[in-house]
Amino acid sequence: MRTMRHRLTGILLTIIALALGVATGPTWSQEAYPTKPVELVIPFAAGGSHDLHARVIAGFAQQSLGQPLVVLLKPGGGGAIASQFVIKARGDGYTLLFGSNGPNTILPQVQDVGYKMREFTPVCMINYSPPLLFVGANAPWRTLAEFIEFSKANPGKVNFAHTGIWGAAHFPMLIAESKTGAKVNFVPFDGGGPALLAVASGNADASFGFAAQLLPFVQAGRVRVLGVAAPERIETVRDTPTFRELGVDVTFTLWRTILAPSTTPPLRMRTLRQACAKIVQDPSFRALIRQLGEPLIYMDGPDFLTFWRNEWDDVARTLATIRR
Amino acid sequence: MADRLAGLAFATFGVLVGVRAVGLDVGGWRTPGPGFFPLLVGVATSVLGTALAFSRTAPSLKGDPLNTGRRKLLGAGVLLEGYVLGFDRLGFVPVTFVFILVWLRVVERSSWREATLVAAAAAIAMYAVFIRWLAIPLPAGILSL
Amino acid sequence: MPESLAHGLAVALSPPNLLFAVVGVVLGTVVGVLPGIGPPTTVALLLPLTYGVDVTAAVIMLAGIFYGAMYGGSTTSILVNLPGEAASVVTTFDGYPMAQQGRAGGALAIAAIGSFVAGTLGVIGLTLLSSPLSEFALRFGPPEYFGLTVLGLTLVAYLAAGSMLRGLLMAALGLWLGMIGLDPVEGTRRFTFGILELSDGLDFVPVTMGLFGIGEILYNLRRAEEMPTVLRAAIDWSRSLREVIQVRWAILRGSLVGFFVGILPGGGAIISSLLAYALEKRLARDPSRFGHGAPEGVAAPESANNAAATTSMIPMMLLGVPGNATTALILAAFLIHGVRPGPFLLRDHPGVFWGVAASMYIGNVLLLVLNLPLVGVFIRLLRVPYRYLAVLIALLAMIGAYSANNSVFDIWLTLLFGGLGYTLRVLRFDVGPLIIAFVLGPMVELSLRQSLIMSRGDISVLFARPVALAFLLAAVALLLGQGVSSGMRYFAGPRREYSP
Repeated sequence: MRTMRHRLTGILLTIIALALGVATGPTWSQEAYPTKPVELVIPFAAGGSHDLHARVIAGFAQQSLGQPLVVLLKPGGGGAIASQFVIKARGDGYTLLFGSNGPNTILPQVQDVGYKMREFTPVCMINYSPPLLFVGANAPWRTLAEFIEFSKANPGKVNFAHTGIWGAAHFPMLIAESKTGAKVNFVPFDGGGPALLAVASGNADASFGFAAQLLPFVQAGRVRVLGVAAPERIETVRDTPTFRELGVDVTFTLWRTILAPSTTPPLRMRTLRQACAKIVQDPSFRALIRQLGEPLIYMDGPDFLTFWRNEWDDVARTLATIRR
Repeated sequence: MADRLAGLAFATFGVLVGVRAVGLDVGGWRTPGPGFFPLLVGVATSVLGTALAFSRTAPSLKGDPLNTGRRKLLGAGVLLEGYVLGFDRLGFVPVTFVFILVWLRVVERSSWREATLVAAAAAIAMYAVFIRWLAIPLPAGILSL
Repeated sequence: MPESLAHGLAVALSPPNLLFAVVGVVLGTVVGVLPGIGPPTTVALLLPLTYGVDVTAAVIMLAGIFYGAMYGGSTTSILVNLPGEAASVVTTFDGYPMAQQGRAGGALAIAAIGSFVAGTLGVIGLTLLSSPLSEFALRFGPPEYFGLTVLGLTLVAYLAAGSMLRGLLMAALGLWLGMIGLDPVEGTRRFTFGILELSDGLDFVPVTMGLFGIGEILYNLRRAEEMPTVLRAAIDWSRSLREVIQVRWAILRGSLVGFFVGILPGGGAIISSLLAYALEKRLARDPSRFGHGAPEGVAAPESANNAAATTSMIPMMLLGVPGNATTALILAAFLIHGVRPGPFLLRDHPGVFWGVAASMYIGNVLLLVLNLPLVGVFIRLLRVPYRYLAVLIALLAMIGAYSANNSVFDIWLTLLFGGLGYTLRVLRFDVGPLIIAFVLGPMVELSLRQSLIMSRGDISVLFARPVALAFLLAAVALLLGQGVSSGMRYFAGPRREYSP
């Protein structure tokens, strides 16, 4: 009788062990990753800064990852189309999103796009670009304080060019408004270029723009920069004070982070993160990013996750204030 | 007669657009809102559609009598739908080949030989030009081409 | 400055740069001929290939693709009523009727030579007037855009080949189609039916591929008789050249229109070709010829779109602000090579600027040399029985639509518009005014609302500035003129039948 029970137990234990083995089996095959090209999906149109950064990364990926990184553009819906595409793809580590705060922090909180933060796990952040507040050369304001004071005293008088609702030229100004009581008159434009031209020609009074495109106009004396909406000073515009320094807590970081679907196996995440860390240390990579006029502000996965959570909460607070 | 129906269709469409426009917040003359232009367009379409329905000048139909080809049209329609449905999953090259083949055979009533030859030649040519030369990212599908 | 140009010519003629120019214009012609696949897609795809190459060579090639496509785009517009390039839509209005009348060779020749003259004038402008022109572009604000686009819209009335009522209905439909998407000011969704892909509005490519490509094919399937195949085995050069000389003023005027409108960001090839066409029709002694094979109707838009493509390089190079998708990508090419276009390009990298400018002269010559013999080739291609062409066109239309955004949804849109195109043809509607309204409508709305927001509701902002006022007055004058002549026609004679 006892031997029978022992034998049954033995069989049961063996079955359980085998079952466990099968359940954890996939982790063994993860060692061979990646075995085919990895897709990096871009939520914006061709020629934009995300596209350019992605192509630079792709140029270095093969050495670090062993397989080529294929850039796939899927613009539309403010970045929702690409984000949804990546979530719906198999979370096997072969489809990644080159995300940003627009599609992945702000958009999910102003619209029902079918995802929030938890669907994604960050691999690494390559850098971020903060917008700069600029005014025309003939504008009366020489400092941020003057600008804010004027906008408070004359609500709706400043024609502020923006490039899209909740976008990089709109949202940071909304934050500024909510924190200082200033009020501007938002005028929509079709993109950063038209907005820049409008301010330079006097058709608009002020806007937010990015260093790379602004700097030639600043150097030519056509526009003046009043501040940068970043957590700390940026190497590409070292002389521009941050909003925080000037007493107005406004930050907007257009980050460029490689995001993987949360269902991606942890071992593969680790491979990706290690590859990313390697790429950003390559001196040629760093030189190319600098050539684009962009800073090098790397954050690894876990650090970025903290950063992202804080950003998410900040945005939620701002939206709550605005909507009141 | 056709014009009367078309006019009616346009008029109805205009009304629908106008109704939706009002729901979108028309704003004022000095501060047009999202619904302003749609409302104008909706009203204009209704008016024009009504005018069409009642107009008596009809374009002369000389030149192109449409008296055949309904079957061809249906076949083409089905094939086009099929193409899109299979495009992503089955891949560009196979779907293109089948599309040309079936089209030529069914819609244009070519012989099997002619259809197959043209389909094969075209599929290969398109593969060469689009995938190899211009490197356009087209779905690889089941044949991984 | 002549020295700079000479230096630029030396740069442009150096063997590697010359080679890249050749590659660029050949590729551009091919891409222009292929319907739906446009310069933006091609330039985007080739961008990575230019990494290892010198910046001047890279830009020379990519620019070559850009204006080369303007040459090639007219080919399918004329031969099979399918615009190869977005800007070539207007060429179909008279180009295709010309082909149907057996004058395809003449149409193609006019297109090629007109494009050459326009391109050359554009490059001359680029080299001589680039700084003042970029200032001009800078000053163009919302009120000016409003005036310009309103003028364009009022010209729609001239463009309907048949009855005005039908033309206006098509324009109304086009206006509605242009409103699909997000409201430009508030961001609310309009007519998107809950579909995410529609929130950015309808893309031009699926709409035209569907209305022109698929719609035409479906319609032709219903015809009893076999479609006429080649209409002439060889091109009658002396007759064609005579025709070109006949339309020389249309070419000049078209070039001028394209020249100035092309500089404006957001202006560009489509609007210039529309305006040039409408201008010719307005100036013609017998406007009823338009839409039925008037050679001016090919000369004007083709010259305009080529001049526009050339001058649209100016704001990109001298202001760093691209006016259209392709120049945005060429800008990216500059950036990747560490050269930042903008106010200091001439100062910091004069060799690049003059090299590119000079290479555009050369490119235009190359294209003329390339395209004129090709006219004969293309005519011969028409010998292919229509039933093979039909299925190929259908395929190319769908592929073209897909390739813009890697989106299957765009193919569905193409089919939808194909069905619409078929229906409209059956009901004897002309699609031209629809396209114009589709393109111009959103610009009219945006510029009007921008202007009113800027002025906080003060309408006078639209008339206050001289340029804006001039455009609006022209529009009013045209409307009145058209209204008067239509009214006279209406009351003068008995009801007549319009033949389309």
